[in-house]
Amino acid sequence: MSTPSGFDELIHPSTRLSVVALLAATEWADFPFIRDSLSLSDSALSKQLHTLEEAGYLEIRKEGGGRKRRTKVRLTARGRTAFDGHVAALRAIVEGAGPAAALATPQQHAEAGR
Amino acid sequence: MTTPVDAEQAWQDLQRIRVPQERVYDEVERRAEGDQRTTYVTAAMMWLFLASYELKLPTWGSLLILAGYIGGLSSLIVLCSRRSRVRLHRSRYTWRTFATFFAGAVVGGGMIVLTDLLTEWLALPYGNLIQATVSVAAFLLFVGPANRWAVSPLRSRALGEHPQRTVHEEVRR
Repeated sequence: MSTPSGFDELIHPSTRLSVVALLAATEWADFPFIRDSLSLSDSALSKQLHTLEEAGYLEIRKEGGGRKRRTKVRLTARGRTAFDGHVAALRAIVEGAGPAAALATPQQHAEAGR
Repeated sequence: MTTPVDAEQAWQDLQRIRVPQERVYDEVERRAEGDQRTTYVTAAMMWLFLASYELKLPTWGSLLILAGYIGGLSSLIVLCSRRSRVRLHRSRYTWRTFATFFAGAVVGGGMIVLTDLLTEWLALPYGNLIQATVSVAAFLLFVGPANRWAVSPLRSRALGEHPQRTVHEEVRR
């Protein structure tokens, strides 16, 4: 499995980007915390987590049993590298846009506002 | 090179990354400020441990109480760890976190030694009770502000204190 770098299509969708961004700041986070922080349903979060887990970007660990069962989610080294690469690529796009974007887009906005 | 997103969208994505990370720092700050029950239980155990020296127990008794104190503190740490919903990544901590830990040890240990010397010098009755009470008071006064001081720069270090700029302001910098 190659190490991902640069813009990452898997992380790019907004929900997955938010999940990975949250986990990038943590050693681990438990499932309810991620769900509540991102205002997602259990099923929507589960789906995104399993997609990322299959790509090797995160680990899902279940601890305890019965009512005290907890699900902890942790970003793997591969996931962290992918996130850093994706953020670097986004910054490069913003910086690469340079003065052209800064000058051109306000004009477009002004025209749109007329 | 063709990129899958334009600069405007890339900027919005960069801003979107901040929001969930803010939630992590909210939780870390809330825990640093709000867990008073754990603080009081720790203080109570500390008081009982220090005050037990007033009983002039034999060595095995003192060792038993020391083992109980260490066991109690360990259980409290495990309980706190189980209750926490998130743990901040190690790369996000600053030198202040470690400084607070060592300063806590210095303040706690220093206060115990100082009150021990003072109560002996002044020949006060119930010296160990005075020592326990003063040390626990110092701990309670220290722990709140120290935690807040340790946690306060974490958010700004990771996310910056800049107000959210537009993509146009960013590329002009």
